[in-house]
Amino acid sequence: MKNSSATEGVLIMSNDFLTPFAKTSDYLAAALERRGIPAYVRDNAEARLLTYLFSEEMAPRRPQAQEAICESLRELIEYARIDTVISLDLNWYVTPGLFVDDPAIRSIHSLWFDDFRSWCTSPFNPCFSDGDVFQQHVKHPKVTHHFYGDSQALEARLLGVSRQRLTRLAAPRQLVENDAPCLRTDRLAFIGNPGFRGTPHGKAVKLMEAGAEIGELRAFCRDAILKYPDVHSLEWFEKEPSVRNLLAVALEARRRFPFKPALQILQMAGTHYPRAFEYINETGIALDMAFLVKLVNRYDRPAFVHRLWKRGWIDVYSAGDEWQPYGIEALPYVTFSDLPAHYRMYATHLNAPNAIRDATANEKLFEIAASGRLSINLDSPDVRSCYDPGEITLVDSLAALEAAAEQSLRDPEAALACGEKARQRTAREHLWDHRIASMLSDV
Amino acid sequence: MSDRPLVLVLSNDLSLAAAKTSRYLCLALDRLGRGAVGRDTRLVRWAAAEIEKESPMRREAYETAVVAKWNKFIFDYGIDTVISLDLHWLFSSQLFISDDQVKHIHSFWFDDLRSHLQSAPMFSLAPKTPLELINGPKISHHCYGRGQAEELRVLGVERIFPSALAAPAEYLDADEPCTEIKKLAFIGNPGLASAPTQQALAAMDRGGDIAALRRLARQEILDALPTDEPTASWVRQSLGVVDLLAAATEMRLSQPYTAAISLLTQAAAAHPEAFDFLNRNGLILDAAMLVKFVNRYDRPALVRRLWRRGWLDIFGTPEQWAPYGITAQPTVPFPRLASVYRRYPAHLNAANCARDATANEKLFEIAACARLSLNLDSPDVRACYSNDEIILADSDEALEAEAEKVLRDPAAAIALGETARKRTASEHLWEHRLKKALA
Repeated sequence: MKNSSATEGVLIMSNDFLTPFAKTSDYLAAALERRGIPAYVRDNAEARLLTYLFSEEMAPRRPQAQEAICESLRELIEYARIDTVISLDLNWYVTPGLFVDDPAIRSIHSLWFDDFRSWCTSPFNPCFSDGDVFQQHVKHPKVTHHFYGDSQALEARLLGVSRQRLTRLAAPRQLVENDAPCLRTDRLAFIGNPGFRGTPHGKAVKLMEAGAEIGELRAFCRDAILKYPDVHSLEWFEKEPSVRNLLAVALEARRRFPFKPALQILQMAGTHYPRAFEYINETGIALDMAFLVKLVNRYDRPAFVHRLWKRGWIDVYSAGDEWQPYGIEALPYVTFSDLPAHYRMYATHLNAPNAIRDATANEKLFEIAASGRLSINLDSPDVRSCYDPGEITLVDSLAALEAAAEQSLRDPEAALACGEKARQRTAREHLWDHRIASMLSDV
Repeated sequence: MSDRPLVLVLSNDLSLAAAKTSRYLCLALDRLGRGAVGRDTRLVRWAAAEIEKESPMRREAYETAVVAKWNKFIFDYGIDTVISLDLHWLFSSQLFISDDQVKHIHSFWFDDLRSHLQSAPMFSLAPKTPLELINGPKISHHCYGRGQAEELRVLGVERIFPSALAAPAEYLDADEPCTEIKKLAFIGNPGLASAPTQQALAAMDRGGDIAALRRLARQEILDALPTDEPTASWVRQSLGVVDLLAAATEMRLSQPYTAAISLLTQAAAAHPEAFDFLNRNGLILDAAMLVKFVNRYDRPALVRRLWRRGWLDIFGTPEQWAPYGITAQPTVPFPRLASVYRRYPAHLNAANCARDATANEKLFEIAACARLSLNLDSPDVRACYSNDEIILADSDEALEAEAEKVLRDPAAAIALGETARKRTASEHLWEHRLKKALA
């Protein structure tokens, strides 16, 4: 028999417009079920779509829509004895009062994948409410926010979110149990998109083709952000000219400390330009500015991939249209059911964070490791805190990346041996089961 | 999730029983090595109906966005099979059916087609009819009762397969002790949500048997035909409808487990014009429902009989039991079902008359929990368990006598329950049904 404080049922709110989020929601559900906790994944995409499409003409029907959304979940909460809600980002936040005001719900966990700014400004995430209500919800005492990177946490703290925890991402257990063979030892693989969606600057691609190092590309980005400001930046510079100086200092700092949280860098730069910092604070553009600072790293991932692609050493999968401007021909999209076999197919995978996230220990890091395969990563404190050299490879330059890739092609057995160590570490420490156990032990 | 093409299990949370069973289907599929993901369709159905009503010019845009979302989901997950109870997979004509990636669609029927279509709003299927859509070559319909199957067949539904309901394997592991040995239990509602008539209650109070209550129910149906809508309108248009239904309900009295639709078809031989009228106006399922209502008091009468003796604890919606003079304990939430089953040595089981199928899910769940179920004998139930595993009573008096035996010797009841558990473990789990369906 479970004791009275044990979790009886968990509702996982997904947003199926974004299938990587949906996929992880299903992994979380599977981990819960393995603990004997019934878990129900429910998608909120249609509720959000409804809000988005009918925000104006359906406005008078909003109360009915809100009630329908609440009702559709309240009955499930009652009969399935749901007491805990989990979602990636704020996907649990669909309509005001739902969950936070329900006495049956004891705790709500936001596992942050994205950053606050992107989540709040995404057209995929319209919500039924205004700013104040939103704030009350994200700061509600039932809600715990889990971040996998310091920068994410810092950004949330700026918004007044105090109930925070560091919770690393993780891998689904079925990956550690997969035994599909390694068929490709003559190539590495990268599965994913370039990260930032915008078309790359022509000069950046030329730099990559000319063999520029990652530092040069970051310097290029630093300069390009100031040289080709977007309309918003121009407006800020015009209203408070010192903002430009603040941004220049922050961009340079990011170039030198590429894994320092963008917001922290901005705050430090703000001590030199207090008026500019006050301006960005008062006008609520701090997160937008932080985003620009993150973009210093925007070519980290594409440059990583491009360097090995040029040598003919890598198969790139998914997002063909997005890779094309980099001169890279990607193989088709890998469906979720094919992912385990694709991870296992290659001895070594390239991994590189998405610049926008400002957190480097991404989900792929754990998934490649769980599959018993070697990942080559940019060295960063986040990644280093999860795995040791010998389990994964950490490099600090494109030249080092190339050398590491060459080494894995020369000696795939050694790569596989590292991958096996990473698999064991993952099985011990880095499964979603571990995260769930830790999350629920605090309830 | 596994590394084979995934199965999408769709539910509709408006039917919470479907939500519960859909979760068990996912778990069973996982154990079979077929990864599964579950999703709900309740909100999209609500939105589809609301938009059609409030802003029809936006319906197409909304449906397009919804369809795009689901298509991406299907593609990204690598889903090749869709499973749902009833037609929960059908909420837009543009999904799943013409998707080449989706190779199979399985409907496990819980409800009857008429009730399902009435309670499950969806995007307009026009210009296609529901029948055209659900008769595609990759769609299979699994029916747990001959009545259900017959009903679908008469309507022109193809690819119908018999598939009994089943129990979740999780229930086999339930180990709560039996602590209420002085009572039996019934978990559920009266079946038909509308209140009973005073005559029916009086008949139950007098100790009227099931046969008498069926006769009474039949008379109530026939009396209401010319006065209540919509049947009054049918009668105005075709007077023969009264005779047709009188004949079909009369046959139901002597053949209480023969499919209502078959009885209507048989009665049609003598009343072809009335049958033709119902057929042409799409009223056959409504008429069949009336025939099923001959059995409407079966379940409440059995419950009431044991309740009056003080032998039965009832768990269900208290408001639905109140008109029967029965005080029910609140509905048992899903995670507590197995422990409530285990708490009692025996459970009363009785079919919901609207389903026209008697081997309901509870039959298997009680057995999986190693407890004895007391049932009215019917071919569907007998096809799943024998007299050594469950009680098959041929009358309410016999059932009452069996209940008394249980109270006198609960250990014997539990021993029978244990044999039922073994049979369930070897034949009647969701894994068994899914394996067959996916073969």
